Amino acid sequence: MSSKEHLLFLRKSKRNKIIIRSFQILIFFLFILFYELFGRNNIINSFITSYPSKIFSSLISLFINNNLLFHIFITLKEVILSFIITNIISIIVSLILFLFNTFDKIVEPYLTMINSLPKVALGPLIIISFGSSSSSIIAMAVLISVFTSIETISNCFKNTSTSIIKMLKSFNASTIQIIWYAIIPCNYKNIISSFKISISLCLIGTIMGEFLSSKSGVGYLILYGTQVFNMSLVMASIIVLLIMSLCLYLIIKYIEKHLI
Amino acid sequence: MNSIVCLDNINKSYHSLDYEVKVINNISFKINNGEFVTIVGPSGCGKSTILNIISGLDKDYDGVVTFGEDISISYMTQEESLFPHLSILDNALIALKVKGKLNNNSINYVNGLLRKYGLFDIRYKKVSELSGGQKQRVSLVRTLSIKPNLILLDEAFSSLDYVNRLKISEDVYHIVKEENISALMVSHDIAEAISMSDRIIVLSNRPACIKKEYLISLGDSPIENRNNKDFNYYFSKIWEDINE
Repeated sequence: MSSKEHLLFLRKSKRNKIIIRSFQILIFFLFILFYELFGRNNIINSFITSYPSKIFSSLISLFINNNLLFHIFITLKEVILSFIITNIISIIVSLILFLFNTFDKIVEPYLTMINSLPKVALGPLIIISFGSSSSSIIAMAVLISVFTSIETISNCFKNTSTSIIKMLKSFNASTIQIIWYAIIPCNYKNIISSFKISISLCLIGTIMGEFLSSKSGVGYLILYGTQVFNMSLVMASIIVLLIMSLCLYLIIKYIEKHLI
Repeated sequence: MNSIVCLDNINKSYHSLDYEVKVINNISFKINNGEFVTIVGPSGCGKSTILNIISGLDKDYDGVVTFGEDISISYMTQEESLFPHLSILDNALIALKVKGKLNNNSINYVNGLLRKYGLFDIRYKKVSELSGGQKQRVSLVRTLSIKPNLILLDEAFSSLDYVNRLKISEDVYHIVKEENISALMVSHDIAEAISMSDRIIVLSNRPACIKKEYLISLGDSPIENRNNKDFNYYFSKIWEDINE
């Protein structure tokens, strides 16, 4: 049986939750309402920005006539593949950097330098190397996300509790055992946080790659819409991207909640 | 009496690009089977370094460390070194897993220890949900799980409140005596050292050398030893040695 104070606390936190959710929904609907009104009445340049009802009909027509699901599938496939490759590389490289301190110091300036390089500048090089195919798009996404991911994960590995490592060493644990029992499990949460960043970067990289060379995908739709001045198509594709990004984030959040 | 560990002319320095600091200067002592020895001394004089050398964590020193036959060392550090994401039982079993000694007998032994320290009924709880005293008990069970014949205690109770500290020091003392384990403890708490030890080694300031050794002969209970008539004598002597 809950006490009076506890019931009051529960009621207060429930009310707080309702207020937050209500305002989030209200802001969304107000944004849609004003966007529609301003667009229809030419208060904003609807040729550039379009407006919600037009975007929605564009979405429906995309779905019926232009095989929207196929484009989403292509982009999603590239994002997921690049995400997997990015994180496998990041975890392996981070472990190497953690284990070999001297090597870490040798490559540190190079990693920082490459990380700060705008990867899109390497686009032509990637297309020449991988050809005008989905491989070059995946390569672009990996390039964009992998260095940030390495930096985040290797910093987490380096910050693993020294007392836990010391304890394992005092029991004569091997390097593999230290990685297996301490480095990876103690950093589950940090690795998942890095996944959240890398999934967004992979999506950005995939769209950039699709801008450079593609015949399908959501990035291709945006580029095509821009070339034919169909801004409703551009905005509809951007909305699809936002929904994709949200879904991918929620999947990782679900994994975080249920597996860790 | 056979010795379980013998340190002979140990010297240790820490190096940086700008300077070299000698922390241990020609330290030699041995610990006998079943003996409880405590090292006391000024802060930063190198007490923990001695434990790191014996445990094998620090291999960069001059001198010789020899061990008795079938030595099995367990180290309980001053920092909390439990895995927050694991249960009490999994934390208690980690040393056995690392050493490849996990079997039904060892699990039963650990369960027995958990029962003894009031942790058995909550063994599936995550350690992040435990109090400081309970966490220290889990560390103790883990330390004992491999049935060591030498335990190293590095300010192991310093994070506990006074009451829990007294209780756990009583527990550790009885385990050491009942199981005929040897113990080497580092402590800045002179009262704790006197109440638990058979022998106390007092170190000097850096570079640490052995200033004095005291053979302590009080009773069989660290808590009751604090009321022993000789307790104050030892306390004032060691206090003078450290602050001289």
